[in-house]
Amino acid sequence: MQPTLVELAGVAKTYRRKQALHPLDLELRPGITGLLGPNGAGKTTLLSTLATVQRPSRGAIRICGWDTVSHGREARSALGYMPQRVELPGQLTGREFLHYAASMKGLAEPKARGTEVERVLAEVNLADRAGDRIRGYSGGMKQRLGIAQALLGDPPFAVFDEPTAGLDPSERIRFRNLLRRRTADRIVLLSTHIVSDIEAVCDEVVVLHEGRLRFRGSLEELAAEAAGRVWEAEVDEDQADALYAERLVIAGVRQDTGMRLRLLADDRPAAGARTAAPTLEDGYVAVLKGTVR
Amino acid sequence: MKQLKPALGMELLLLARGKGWLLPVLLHAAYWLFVADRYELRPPEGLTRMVSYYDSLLIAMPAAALFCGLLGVFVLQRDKHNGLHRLALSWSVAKTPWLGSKWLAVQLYGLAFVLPAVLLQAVWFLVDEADTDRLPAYLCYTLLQMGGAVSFSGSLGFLIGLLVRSRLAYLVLPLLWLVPIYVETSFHSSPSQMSVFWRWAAPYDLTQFHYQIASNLWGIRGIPVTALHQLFVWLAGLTAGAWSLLLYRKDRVTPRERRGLPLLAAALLLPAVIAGACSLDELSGRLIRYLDTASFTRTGTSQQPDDYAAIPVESEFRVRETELTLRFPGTNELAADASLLLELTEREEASSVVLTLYRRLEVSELTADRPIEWSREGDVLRVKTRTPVRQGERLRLRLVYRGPVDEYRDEGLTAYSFADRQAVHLPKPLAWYPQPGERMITKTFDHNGAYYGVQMQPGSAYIEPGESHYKVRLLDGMPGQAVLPIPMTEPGVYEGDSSFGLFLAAGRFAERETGGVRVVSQPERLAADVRSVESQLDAIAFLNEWLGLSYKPSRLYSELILEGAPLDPYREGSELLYPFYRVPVPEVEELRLRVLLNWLYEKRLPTPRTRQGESYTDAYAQMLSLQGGGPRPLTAEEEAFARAVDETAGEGEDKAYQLAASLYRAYEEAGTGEAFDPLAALRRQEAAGKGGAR
Repeated sequence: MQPTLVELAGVAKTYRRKQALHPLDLELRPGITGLLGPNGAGKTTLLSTLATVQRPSRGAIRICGWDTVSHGREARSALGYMPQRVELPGQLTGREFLHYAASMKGLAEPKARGTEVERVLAEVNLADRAGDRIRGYSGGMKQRLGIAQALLGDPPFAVFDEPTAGLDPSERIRFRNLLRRRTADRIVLLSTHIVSDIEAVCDEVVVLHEGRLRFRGSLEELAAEAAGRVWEAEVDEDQADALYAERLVIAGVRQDTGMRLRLLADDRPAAGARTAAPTLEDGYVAVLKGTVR
Repeated sequence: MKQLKPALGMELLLLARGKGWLLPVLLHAAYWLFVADRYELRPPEGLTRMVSYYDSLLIAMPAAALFCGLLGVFVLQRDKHNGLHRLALSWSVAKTPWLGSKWLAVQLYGLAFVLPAVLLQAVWFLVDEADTDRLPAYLCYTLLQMGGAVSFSGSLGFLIGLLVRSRLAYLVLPLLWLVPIYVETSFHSSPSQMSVFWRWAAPYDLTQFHYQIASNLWGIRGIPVTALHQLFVWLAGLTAGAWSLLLYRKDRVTPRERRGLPLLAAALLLPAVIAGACSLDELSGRLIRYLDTASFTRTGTSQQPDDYAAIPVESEFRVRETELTLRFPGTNELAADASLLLELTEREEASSVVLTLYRRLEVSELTADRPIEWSREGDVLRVKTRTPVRQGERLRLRLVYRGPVDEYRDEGLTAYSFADRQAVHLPKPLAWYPQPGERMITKTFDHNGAYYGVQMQPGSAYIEPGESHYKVRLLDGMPGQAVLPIPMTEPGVYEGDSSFGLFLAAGRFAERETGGVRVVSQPERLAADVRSVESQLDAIAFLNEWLGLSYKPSRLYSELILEGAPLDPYREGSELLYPFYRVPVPEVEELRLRVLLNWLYEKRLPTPRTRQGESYTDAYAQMLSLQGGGPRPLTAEEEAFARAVDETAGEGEDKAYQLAASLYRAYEEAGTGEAFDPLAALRRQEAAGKGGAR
């Protein structure tokens, strides 16, 4: 059994009267953990709390054994964080920004800092554009720079909040490859609502919904949540409309003579429907919906 | 703290590359170059470089303070709005280097305004050698004023940026910034007590002046008081910075910060409060003195002049001799022995002498060459002789008195009289020596019968009952040259006759004699003042010769003290006049003759506004249009007169001057004022001329 590096015990967060995060117990182990959840599920709240940007209202978080409140500085030195929305200063070059971030993360010695900056620049494939001003970067390059600053110092725990939002497919693939290169003894928590990103890189997945932990397990276990309840049916357009209204349709593909639908249901939703192997997305939807009609 | 340097470097890099923040700094530097260039190309009338510089500082300093304050808000709000703040919170940097670097960047940005201003002042004032002796003090003053202003404003902006989390913070700071601007430029001639407080609360010391920091005569006064105020401002700024650190993300505190930050905030707060209390107390002292003077003036005098006109002093006695021995034992402290020789001139006999002496000067001894009793009510001393004094008899009084002589105007903002190591200013209306008759030293104003605040004027003008002989001994060395209306006869002794009275001024003055008159001025303005006085002397000589007048030049030309000057100084004679007066032609009520005299006078002694080559007809038409109702055609009589004048001028300018002089004599002889007909007089003279020719 691998040692637990990040531990959340009864962590909850309340904003005035709104309970954004209900008490949560969670252990994160080395590897890449995907955090899934719809908008407003509490993902960003959880990540901000883990990144020490805010204090939990209740409970405690330990990163590499350091409590984030009583030993915040030590906990932060083991942390890399990329927030969801950050506008990096456009007047700086990518390299200047990383030097700055490295200094602020405690890399004081200039030579070591320079080496580390060049390492992460190479890691995110930005070395050839590192001397350009950030304002001239594409959205994907800015995202990569944000990721690079999180990787500075090779922290044991890295948190990425929606890192692939707004990236084109090739940039997303590049990001996935980058994550895969992380060594096995590091913990990465990746928040996204793009299921394919999770499928591509994560070893484990956590599903949050309405501030509560709904699922935690491997990708196969999440897919298995929908086992035996995934159906595919070829129907005409009138039937399709009726199924959309009455059943939980996961996907629909238009065909020459009608539509092919993928549904989640406890019983056969339509004549001619046949069961299908569940995917991660099916499992995710099944977890979110709980009871299936 | 190792992180402070790279964090500061980054903040400065961001500032340097953010063109929006560089622009004000560049504009500010350009502004100072413009100010110096404009002055050197065309020096404003009557303004020294120093006054010009500090007038400009009153514009540049608040502007710089505003930009620093806005930057203080910006450096905090920027990271909050672009999300970098969240990122930084996940870094291991402690909040002191993180916030401290931003605060320091704002302070350095402030220096980018202060240093060019101080540097330009140094270079510019060095050009004027006369100012070099005071240059270090003035550079310090600028540094204190502007440095304190930008530092405090930056810190305040920083604190506001922290406390007001929305973009409203950008509005709060300018609103606060407007307050001192408003109180300084408020339309009212005198500030209210509330605005006096706001002046004190400003990030630059406005409590030492009203509208103008420096004056030609006295330079900048009260630099130590300004230093105290600015010390408070600096400490308050530092305290705001320390409290920002303390208040920012209380949960993000390292063990070291947990111990150090409260100590720092408290350690700065204490001296800031002490310095603020001392500064406020100093201002309150001046305000209280001023209010006390005002309340006394309202209730303690019986004779209240209604307007600015000079009034003759009513006194049954004439002071034949006044002998004063003066010492200045401390700042704003006068100790004097006075000996007065009085003669009863206005009555057959009298047993009461009334004198005026500034109420704060305590009389410890009052004796006479005959038995007397005396009493005092405010500024008025009443001396009663046991036996009456008969007309022509003389009475010698000897007084020993001592007390403070600092008086204030504008709610204590400006010093009216003072005596310190920098300068002495004891104007006659202060009654710092015993003066005959009952006088109102200061005056309050009312508006429609209602008391109008505590507004005061410098002092009512009193015309002395007659000439006196004065002898003044100064036992202490003066700060610079001492100036009195009477000349110096030996070092420290001044003696002579005067019908004006006495004032005593000392400071950075220079004196020169020209054409038998004294000119006293600041060293750097003396040459210009002498030139101006010489042109007055020329004008007097010309007018006397041309129109047969008997104008007399003054004995002393200076900007020093003028209260009490006669309304028509040249005709009536005056001992003291401004050096930059333009001697006027005599007042003539009839318009055609008035225009003629002025037209010719300007031809001889042109002003910058004189239009060369203008005919009399044009000048007269121009005057008519200025009189209201717009241009109108000349009447037949006016046209005939104008044509006659222009024809005479065409024959030769001398003839025109002769014509004008003869018409002026006719006007004076006729004594009909506005009803005088210059055309008829001209025709009479022509007829008489023809008759004479026949």
